[in-house]
This record gives sequence, C-alpha cells and structure tokens, in this order.
Amino acid sequence: MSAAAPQSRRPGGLSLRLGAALVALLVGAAALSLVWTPFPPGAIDIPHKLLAPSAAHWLGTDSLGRDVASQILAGARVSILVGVIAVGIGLVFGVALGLVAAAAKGIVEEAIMKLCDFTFAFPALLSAILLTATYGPGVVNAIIAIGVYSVPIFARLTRATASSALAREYVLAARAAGRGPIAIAFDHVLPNIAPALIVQATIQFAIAILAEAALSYLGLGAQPPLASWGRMLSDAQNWMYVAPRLAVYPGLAVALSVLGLNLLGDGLRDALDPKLRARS
Amino acid sequence: MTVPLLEVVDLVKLYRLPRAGWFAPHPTRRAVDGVSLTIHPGRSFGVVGESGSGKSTLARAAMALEQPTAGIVRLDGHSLFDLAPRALRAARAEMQMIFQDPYGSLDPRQRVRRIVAEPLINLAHVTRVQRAARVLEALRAVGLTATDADKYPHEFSGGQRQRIAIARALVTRPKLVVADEPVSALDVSIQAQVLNLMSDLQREAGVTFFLISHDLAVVGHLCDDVAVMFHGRFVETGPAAALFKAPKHPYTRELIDAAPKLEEAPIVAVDAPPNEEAPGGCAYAARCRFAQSRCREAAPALRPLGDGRSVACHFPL
Amino acid sequence: MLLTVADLAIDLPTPGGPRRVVHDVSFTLDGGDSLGVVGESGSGKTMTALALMGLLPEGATVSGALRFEGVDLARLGEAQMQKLRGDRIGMVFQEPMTALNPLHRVGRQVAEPLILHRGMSRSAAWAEAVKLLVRVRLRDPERVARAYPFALSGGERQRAMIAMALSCSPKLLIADEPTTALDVTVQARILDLLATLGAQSDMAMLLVSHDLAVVARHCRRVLVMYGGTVMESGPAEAVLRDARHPYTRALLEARPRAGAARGERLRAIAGAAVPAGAEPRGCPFAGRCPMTMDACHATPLPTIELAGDRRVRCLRVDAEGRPT
Repeated sequence: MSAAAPQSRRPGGLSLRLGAALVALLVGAAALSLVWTPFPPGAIDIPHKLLAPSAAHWLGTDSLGRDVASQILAGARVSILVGVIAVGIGLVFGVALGLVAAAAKGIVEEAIMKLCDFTFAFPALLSAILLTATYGPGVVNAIIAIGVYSVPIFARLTRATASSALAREYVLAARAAGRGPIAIAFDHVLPNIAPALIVQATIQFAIAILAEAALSYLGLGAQPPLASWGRMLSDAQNWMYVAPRLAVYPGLAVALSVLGLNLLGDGLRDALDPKLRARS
Repeated sequence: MTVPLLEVVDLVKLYRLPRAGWFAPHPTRRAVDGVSLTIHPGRSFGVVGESGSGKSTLARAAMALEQPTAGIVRLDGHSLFDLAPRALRAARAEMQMIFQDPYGSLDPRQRVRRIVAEPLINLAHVTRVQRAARVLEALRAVGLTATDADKYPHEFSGGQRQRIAIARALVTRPKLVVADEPVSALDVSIQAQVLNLMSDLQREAGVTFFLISHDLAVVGHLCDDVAVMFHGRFVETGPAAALFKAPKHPYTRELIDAAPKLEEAPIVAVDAPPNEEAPGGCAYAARCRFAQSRCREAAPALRPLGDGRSVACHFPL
Repeated sequence: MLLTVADLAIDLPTPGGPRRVVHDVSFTLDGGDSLGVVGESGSGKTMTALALMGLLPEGATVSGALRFEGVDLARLGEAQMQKLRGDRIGMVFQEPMTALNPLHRVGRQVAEPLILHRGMSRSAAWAEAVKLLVRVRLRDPERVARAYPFALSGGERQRAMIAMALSCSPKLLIADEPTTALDVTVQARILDLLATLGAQSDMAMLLVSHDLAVVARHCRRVLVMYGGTVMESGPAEAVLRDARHPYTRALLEARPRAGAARGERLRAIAGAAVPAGAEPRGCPFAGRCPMTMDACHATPLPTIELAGDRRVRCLRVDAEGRPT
C-alpha cells in the first residue's frame, strides 16, 4: 500500500494539446500549400538534382531536382483529402449499417455482420491494390478503395457500442417517454457512442494516410505531378545510399501526422466525457 | 363504477430458450403466465415477488414496452396494443415509469433539464416555454432546485438521481406511475425520504402508483391493494393491510416470515430444492410445507375468497 | 483476543489530496464471536473490512493497529497477506457472480484454497470440496461442483462462496454484504447457515451490512458507523432495542414497517450523507442530526462507556447514556 497520489489529469490534457498541435501543423501545411510553396512542387530541374539542404532549398532537392520542402507541403494536401473522404465514407455508411444492425437484431443483424466478416476476409491493402489496378491508378480510386475498407470497421464498432447503449435503462426510459426509434438513435445512442467513434475515426484517418502512402509507393495512388509522401518514399528508395535524407523527410511527415491523429483521438475522447469535465 | 385506470387481462409472456439440439424443440420460459389485474384511480397497487417471479416483465408489459405473447392491457379503457405506434406514444403521457437503477436510467450525457423534459417533447400541445415551466415545476415537486436543472446526473447522489427520475415521471402529469423497485438501490435514510415523497405525491397530486418490489414493507407503505407473484402467476391478491396481517397462501407466509425484522427472529423454512418446472402441478408445491398429492397434480386457479381477496391454493391458510 | 483493531484510520488518494474516509475505529473480536458492522453508503464499513483483508485500493494508507493473532496486518506485505487470505482469514463478498470465476468449474474454485494453503493434490482437494458443499447444505453437491457459476442460482453460488471461504477452517470470516444481492427467502437461509457454521467451529465472524435487522439477528455485537467513524457499539440486541445514539435511533425509525398504516409518513433523516472526510473535526452527523448543537461541528467526539460493554460517541449523551 504505497502513499503515492495519482497524477491529476485535466480532461485530455497533454494528449489533446500535443495531438491538436500536430494535426494543426498538418492542416496548416496543406492549407499553406494551396497558396504558396517555396517552389512549384512539380517543377523539374535536373541540373539541380540531389542537392543538400540549403538556404534556397530548405530540405534539398530530389532526383529530378524538385524541391523537397514544397513536395512535403503539397503532399499534406493529398494525405488530408484521402483521410477526410475515406473516413467520411466509412462513417456515413458504417454507422448507418451498425445502427440498423443493432436496432433490428435478428436476421438483419446477422446479415450485416456477415457482410462485414466477408469484407474483412480480404486483406485490405491487397484489395485496394486490386481495385486500383483494375480501375486504374489515381487518387480518386485510392480514396474509394480505402473508404470501402473503413465501412465494416465502423459498422462493427457501431453495432457493438449501440447494442450496449440500447440495452441501457435510459433508452427504455426514453421509450416510456414516447420517443420513437429515430429520435432515440439521435438523442441517446449517437451521443453516447460518439467518443468511441471519434477515437476510431482518428485511427482510421491515420490508417488512411498510411494506406495512401503505401499505394502511392507502389505507384497506384497519387500520380505525378501530384505530390504524395508515399511516392516520395518510393523514389527515395533508389537513392538510399546517395541521399538517405530523401526517405527521412516524407517518412517523418507520415509518422508525425499519424502520431498527432492518435494523440488527438485520445485527448478528444477524454475531453468529451461529461464526467471528466470541469466540476461545476 | 369509474373506468379502471389500468386493466390487465390474461397477460402471458413467453421467452424462447436456446434448444438442446438441432431437432429438439425450443424450451419456453413462462415469465408471465396468465396475469390479470385492475387498478382504480386513487388506489395504488403493489406486486410483491422475488427474482424470477416475472414482476419486472409484468411492469414492462403493462407499460407497453414489451410485446406480450397474449393478453390485453387497457389504459383508461383503451387497449394499448391495438393502438398505432403514434397513438401509443401519445397515450404515454398518461402513464410514466420509474426504474430501479438510479445510475442507469438517466442518460449520462444529458443535463437534468433535458432529461426531465423528455416526456414532453412528443406532446404537441405543450410549447417550449410551457415545457421549461413544467420542468421547473416537476423539479420543485421532488425537492430539487432550478440550479440543479443545469447539472449532469453524475453530479448527484443515488437518492437525488431517483428524485430526478421521479420528476421526469411527473412532468406530463400522468395518472399512473409504474415504479419498478424505486427504492431498492437506496440507503435506508434516503429510502425513507423518497417513500415520503411518493406518499405526498399520492395525497397531493393524485398520483396512482403501480409498484413492483421485493420488499413487503415498502409495498405495504404505499399500496392499497397487493398481489403476490410467484413463477409468473399471482398466488394471492387483496387489500394490503388484510393480506399482510392474515396471509392465505403459504408463499406469502414464507415471504413475511423470512423478512428480517428487529422484533422477532425470522422463521427459516427448511432448505428447499431449487425451483424446478413441475409440469401440471402447483409451481410452489416443491417448496410448500403443506403440499399434498393434489398440489402436484393440478395447478390451482386464483379464486376469490370474499372481501376482495383471492388466492391460488388448494388448501389456503 | 483474536482480532484487535485500534485507532484505525484510512486515507484515500483524491485529486485534491488524501481524504480520510475512516477515522478512529477501534473494536475487538474473539474466536467464536460475531460482530456486525452496520452503516449506509459512505459510512466506511466496507473500507474497514477491506483494510482487514489487505484489499484497499491502490494508494490508500492505513494507520493504527490491526492485530490479528498478534500480527499487525497493516505492516504485512502482499505476499504475507496472500498466505493469510483463504487460510486463516476467509472472505465472502456481495456478488457471487463476479466473485466466482465464470470460466472455472465451481468445484475447482472451492478446492483452490486447499491446494494453495494445504498442499493437497487436485483429486484430494476436489473430494474435500464436495464435502464442503455438503456442509453448506447444497443439494446434489456433485452437480454443483461440476457446474460453472452461470448454471447455478444466486443462493447456490453464495453457498459455494461460503464453502470456498471456509475450506481451510479460517479463524476469522469476513462477510461483506453477503446476502444483499439475494432474495429475502434465500437470504434468511444463508444467514442462518453462517450462524450455524460459526457456532460449530469457533470461528469469529465480521458481518458488514446496511441492514440493521440482518445484523440484529445474526450477530452478537454490533458497530454502527457513519461518516467514517463508529457512532455506537455494543451487544446487538441491546443497541438496537434501546439505541442511545441519535443516528442509530434515526436509522431505526426510518425503516418502513410491514403492517404500518398506508401513507403514514416515515421519520426520514433530512439531507444527504456527507462523503466521509468532509467534516474534519467534530461529528460527521452534525447538521443532519435532529439534536445538533454548535459544539457538535467543532468538538472531537468523546467515547462514553456504558454498562454492558456499550459505547456511544455523542456530545448530547451523558455519562449514563441519557440524552442531554
């Protein structure tokens, strides 16, 4: 029996702030790139290829003379686009399916869950590769492929959390008060399952960024001249012995974005819990 | 003769259990096995039973929160299960419920104001302004204040949460309030406060309670008429005072004897086998001190004894 | 004296600093005797029982003496406590469904202390477990031993828990609300069983409950707690029939009695229990007590010893135990 007191935690606290800062950096980079980058990201300049970082080129240039810093900024755009839309697809369809499954139960629930199982049976990344290879490489197809794979994840999570929320007595009380099923879903179920969904959304966002990087690495995602961190990693592979820094910059960008999103998710979940809010 | 407030006729609720094998039939559990009761305005009704007696299922079916396998429930003369969903929701203004668990029956993500106002949302004739006023009125009636309306449930103790639940049940000014073990989860001193509140509501606001409890003393305190439930059936019914003073069914006697009392030692019945489904005979026969062969062969029906009392026993006490 | 508790104080860590949830608790318990600790939520009764078992939450500190068979339990490390638990001290908790492991057969769980503390072989321990299940009056003990917890009724599970607690013939049995989760008819039987088993084996029993009547009937002595401290103690029958402390009296009067007139107002205690530790000096019941006076808030409680091994802690009670 020690005498140590537990650390007091304000809701979210460090996770929230750090996560929010990193995500803000990511969003800021993407926004900035829409109006200004040090150099045009796609501008090829062979005479100045593989330059080390300098005052002119802050992070140096790549094998085709393109400014690395500008590509990192522009790459943020693609990552965010993919993340937002893919997670958006997953949330809208996944939550809807999950709610229907939880409320309808019986054979409807079984059917929806089996559909999810079926989708999980296919390795996500391979299927994304298959889809983009079949329908052609490009950002749009990459987004759809990644989005489709998010749907069963949200569907399962929603079904599990919604089932447990629906079994609560306050839902029974709402029925006794005369609320209908749609009203109950929006007023009682969604707010109570939202924290879990938000955390999962940030995780899925991070996964989407990683998936996009992987697809682009394989040449199936964002096509040049569209800048993508994955493509930069792929290019850097060939120059590992000459200029390893070319792999570090995009790798670090991906890592920091993923870290920021995960921290943000944790922080948000705590911040949204009324029990941990400032006591009145 | 006034229209009864609540009428339940031959209510049956069966649950299908998982079957032993693919070709075996599904065994059924008779949670409620043919229960009828009538509650008149102003006469609160209590159902006493232990776990597994079916009393909570009965309460939920009476509130039309569960679809019964058979039977009719009439509120103010209207058969609830014949109403369209919208009409049923409107009818709920007259009939509200208080649940056992003060920690689970309030949505933790909503403020008290919103929780108490919920039953009013579907009432078309109540405007927003009126809604706010009614919420405050209900909170005041249960001893809470306007500042409490802006707090979250977790900021309150168990007893206070139960008051919030009662305020929610009162806000539509219902005629009938179904209370499922409203004070079981509360400390003795808080229990007394809440019971006093409920008594006051009966007297001053004309609320009629349909009370479900395992605690005889609580039921006796609030109810005019009582039914004792065992294995899905009423084994005895009658006016509360008479029933507790001179029970006619051996199970009622067992409940009264077993309740811990300060005044005398509880009489402990000889250890009985677990309740098994005795096909055909009286469900209580396996435990009954006075059981005879007739009891194991034929299940007794609930028969009136006069003075408003009925008992389901071949050999009433 | 088997168990001596002297000036027990328990502090729990909170975001605002350590909070004293139990203070100034002293009592003794001898072999064969039974003591009931009665209180509402927040009274500190469960914390007291947990302190004896060494099961307080992480970060809690204990001061005072907890002498069991001459050894101070508060000074023992976890490893030494583990040797005592299940062997010399048996425990029965409120919720048998959560206290029993749902994935192990009941017989194995009842046999576990025997294997651990007595070094029995698995088969010998199983046979002994079945005998114990007979001792707790379970019908068809073989079936119960082979069953998993979910297949048993609440009463059967609690009897199995008692069998487990008694397996190594402990000197002290601590039961924390053992029948609260059970039906009243089952409750009566379980309490009767505990009393009989205690009498048979010279085992001391500490029964924690919120129900006065339960304690009155099944314990020889009683401790009434409120706000983390003892308000009154003495022989159960005497204390409950003739309570001297305003809290005990209020508690007795607040119970609805079967047979009372319908709608009769109960003598409720106004207000709500303050969380233990909120009132650092003076009486925790001050303010809620119908007999409160100014001094009650600030003066430390005296301990008034009365005839018949009774103690009352109240400023409004004189040396003879009469209200002033």
